[in-house]
Amino acid sequence: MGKVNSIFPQFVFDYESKGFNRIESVKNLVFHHIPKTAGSTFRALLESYYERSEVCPAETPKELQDVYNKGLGRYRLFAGHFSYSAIDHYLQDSVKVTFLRNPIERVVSHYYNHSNLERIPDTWRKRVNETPEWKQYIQDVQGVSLTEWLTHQNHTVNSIACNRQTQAFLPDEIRVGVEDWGVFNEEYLEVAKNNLESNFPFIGIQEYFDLSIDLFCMTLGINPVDASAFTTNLNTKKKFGKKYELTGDEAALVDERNRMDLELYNFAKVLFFDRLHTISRPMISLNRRSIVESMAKTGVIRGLGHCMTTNIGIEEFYGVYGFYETEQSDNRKFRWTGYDVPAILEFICSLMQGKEYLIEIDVVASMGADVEESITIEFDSQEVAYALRKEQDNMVIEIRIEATLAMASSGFHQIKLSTLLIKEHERTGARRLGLAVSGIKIK
Amino acid sequence: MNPIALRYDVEIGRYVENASSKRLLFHHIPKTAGSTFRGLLENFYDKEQVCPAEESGELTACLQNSDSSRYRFFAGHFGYSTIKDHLSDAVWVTFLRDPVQRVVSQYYNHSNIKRIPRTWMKRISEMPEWKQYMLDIKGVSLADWLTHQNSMANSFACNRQMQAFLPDSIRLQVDDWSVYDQELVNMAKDNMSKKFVFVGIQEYFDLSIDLFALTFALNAIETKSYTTNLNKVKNVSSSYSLDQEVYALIQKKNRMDAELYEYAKEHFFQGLHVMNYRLISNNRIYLCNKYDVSPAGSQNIKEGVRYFPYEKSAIGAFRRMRSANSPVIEFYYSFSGEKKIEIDLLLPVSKRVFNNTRIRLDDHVLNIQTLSHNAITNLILVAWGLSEKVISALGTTLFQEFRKKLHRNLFSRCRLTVNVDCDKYSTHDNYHRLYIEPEKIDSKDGFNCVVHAFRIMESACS
Repeated sequence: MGKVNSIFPQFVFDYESKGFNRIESVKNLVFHHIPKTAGSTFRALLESYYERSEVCPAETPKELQDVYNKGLGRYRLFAGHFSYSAIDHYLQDSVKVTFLRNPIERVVSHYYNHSNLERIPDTWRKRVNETPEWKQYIQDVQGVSLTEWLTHQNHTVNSIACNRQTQAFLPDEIRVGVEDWGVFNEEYLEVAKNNLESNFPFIGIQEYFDLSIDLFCMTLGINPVDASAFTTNLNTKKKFGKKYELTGDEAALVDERNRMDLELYNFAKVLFFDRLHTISRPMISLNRRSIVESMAKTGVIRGLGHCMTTNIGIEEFYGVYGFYETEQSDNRKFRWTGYDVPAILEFICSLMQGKEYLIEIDVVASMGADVEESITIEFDSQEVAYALRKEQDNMVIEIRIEATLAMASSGFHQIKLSTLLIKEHERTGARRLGLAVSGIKIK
Repeated sequence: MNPIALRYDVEIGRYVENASSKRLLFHHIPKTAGSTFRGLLENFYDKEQVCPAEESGELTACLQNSDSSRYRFFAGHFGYSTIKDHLSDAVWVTFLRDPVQRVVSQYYNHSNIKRIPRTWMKRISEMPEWKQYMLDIKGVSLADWLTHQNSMANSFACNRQMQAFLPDSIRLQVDDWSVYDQELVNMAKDNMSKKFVFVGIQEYFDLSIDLFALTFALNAIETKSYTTNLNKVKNVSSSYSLDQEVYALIQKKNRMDAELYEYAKEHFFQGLHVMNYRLISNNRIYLCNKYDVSPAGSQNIKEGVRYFPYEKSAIGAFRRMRSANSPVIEFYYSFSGEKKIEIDLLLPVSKRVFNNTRIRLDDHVLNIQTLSHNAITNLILVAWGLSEKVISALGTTLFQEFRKKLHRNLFSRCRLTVNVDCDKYSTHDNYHRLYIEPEKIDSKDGFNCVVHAFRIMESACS
C-alpha cells in the first residue's frame, strides 16, 4: 500500500479574521526552536503527527540550506535551531510555531549546558567537531564563569549569551551588522516583536507549558493532548527546571545583557494570554451550547416541548445575555439591547425538520432609523434575513426559519441580535442602546 | 436568568444543574476587581434579587428581614465566619490580586477621603472604630500606614487577602497581621480552594471571566462592555510606581498574601487547563463537522466508511498507542440500523490489559460483546515496523532472540467486537471518535497496545 502523507495541520487559527482557516493543500510545519526552550518535549509531540520519513533531519540553517538545495521531497516537519532568514527563505509558505522562555532561566541553562561538555548531546558534539568556529567556541567557554561568559569577546559566545531569543526573529541583514548583542536597540526589538507576532500563529511560553499545549491544540484545531505522555517518553538524562542560584551581581548582569529578550518575553506573554482569550471566546459559547443541548436531550433541563404557537416574554427565556435590566411601561416588560454585543435570547423547544417557522421579535422602542437599518440577526449561529413590520406603538422583526436537521436535533436555540448603539442622552452615565425587546412569538 | 443554573463539578468531571433557588455569593476582598465583576454579576439578576448588604453586620441584619428569601445575589466585604454561618449553601466566588498592587491601591483609597464612595462614608460615620482609623491615618505615608499601631490599619495593610479565608475564632487571636504564620497560610489556602467554586485573578481579568463563564456554562462575556458600562471607569490593570524601599516593606509585611496569591494563580491556571480540555475537544468536533477533513488518499476500511487516521497516517500501517494518551480513531460515518464495530489489536503487554480495555464511541462507553485472542507472533514484528519480507529473512533463531529481548510473555492479536446502538448516533453529525482505552500500565516503551485495523459491519445479532 502506498504511503499517504500525514494530513497535518488541517486548520490554523487566524487572529485577524478571528476564525479558522482550513488548510486545503499540504502545508509544512516549522518549529523554530530557540536553544534551551521547551524543545524536546514539544518536538516529540510534533513528531507524533508525522511518519518518521516526513521529519526533516536538518537542525541548523546550513543543514536546512543543504536539504533545500537537494529538494524538500517528502519532508513535512522542520524542527531545529534555524535562523529567521533561513525559515523565511526556504520555508516561507508553512505554518510556523515557536516557544519563548524566561530569558534569565534560558541564559543560565544555556551557560551550564555549554560550559560543561558532558551536557552536550552526541548528535551535536559531531556537529561541533565539524564546524571550526563552534569547536573554538566550546573550547573557549569550558570552565568560564557566568560573568565571563556574558561579557566574552568571542562573537559566538556573545550571540548565545545575550538576547539570543530576539535574534531568532531578526533577518540576516540586521544580524550580520551587530557586534555586541548585549546592547539594547529599540529598533531591533520592534522588528523582532513584529516578526514574531505576524509570522507565528502559535507562540508557546515555557513557563506556562500546559496552557501552551492547550493553545497549540486550539490553534491547529486538533484533539486534546496530554503533554506529560511526551515528557515521560523522552529518555533524557537532563534534569532542568530547577531555579539556579545567582548572586545579585550575576542576576543584574544577565538582566543588563538581555534587556531586549526581557521585553520580547513580556510582549510574548501578554500576546499569549490575549490569544488564549481571543481563541477561547467562540469555544466558550460552543461549550454552553453543547452542555445545554445534552442536558435538554436527557431531560435534565426541561424546555417548552414542541414549538407550536408559543409566546415567550422577556422574563421567560432560558437565558438572556447582553441586555440592560428589565423595565416596564404600560404593563409591558422589556429590556434594552446594548449591554454586551450581541444580545442573545435563548429558549429550549423542539423544531421539526423541514418545517417552516415564523419568529416575531417584539420591539417596543428603538433608538431610531439608523439602528433599525443596522440590525443583523443570527438564529442558531446562522445569519438570517428579516423583515420589519411597524405597528401602532411597536415594531415587529420577522424572521423565517426552515428547520434544518441540525436545528431539529438540538432542542436549544439562540437568537443573536446586533445593532448600532446610540447614547440615550449626553449626560455622564448614559447607556448605549439599540432596541427594547419585550419577547418573541413563534408561529 | 439564573447565571449559576449549571455548574461544573470538578470532582465528577461534568456539569450539574443547580436548583433555581441557589444563591450566589461574591466574597469581595477590598480593592480586588470589585466593581467590574460585581456589575457583570448583577446584570444577570433583577434588582430585587440583589441583597444590598456590603459588610458583615449588614448581611446578618439583612438576612433577618422577613422578605430576605427573595435575595439571590450577595456581594460585599464580609467576614469568612459570616458567610460560613449565613450563606454556607450558596455558591461562593471570589477574586485575588497581586498583594503589592492591592496594598498600594488600598492605601491611596483610604488616605484620600475623596476616593471613598458616599455609601461607605455613611457607614464609617456610624462606626467609632472606623472613625478613629480614618483620623489616625490621615496624611500618613504609605510606609507609616504599613507599620501603624492602629489595628485596622494593620489588618488592611498586612495580609488582608488571607484574612478573608480565616474564621473569626482564628482571626481574633492575631495581634499583628504582618507576622508570617505557616499554619494560617495553609488554612487560608485550604478554605479558598475547597469552598470557592471560582477564584479569579485580577491580573488575568479577561481569562478569569472566561473561566467564570466556563465554570457555569455561560456564553462568552465581553468584559470591555462591562467595564465601560460602569459609571466610574476604573483602570483595573494600572500599576503604581513605587520606590524600592517601600516596595520591599510591602512585600515583607505581606508574605502570607504573596504565598496565597501564588497558590491561587497556580490553582487558576490549572482550572483553566482542565476546562480547556472540553473546549479543545468540542472545537475539534465543530471543525470536523463543518469541514470534511478526511484525507483524499485514505482508504475505505469497509464500504461507506472513511477511515481517518489521527495519530499516525498511512492506512495499513500500525497505529501506536501511548500509555498516557488516550488513542483516538477519527472517522466519518452515518449510523443507521444495527451495526457492530470490530477492532483488531496487537497486544504486546498482557491479557489483563486487554480484558480491561474500555471502548468509547463519542460520549458513550460501549459494551464489549466478544473478544477473541489468538497468538500470532509475526504480526508483532510487523507492528514494530518490519515488513513480512524482512521477518522471513530474519529466520527463526534471530526471531527467537528478538522475542526474548522484548521481555514480554505474550504476543497476540485480539479482536474486540462492540455493538452500536445507532439511535444514539443518528444525528446530523457524521464525525465520530472511537477511543480505545487499555488499562494504564507503566510500560517503559511507552505504549501498551497497538490497533491493527477497525471496521464497521452490519450487526448479525439484532
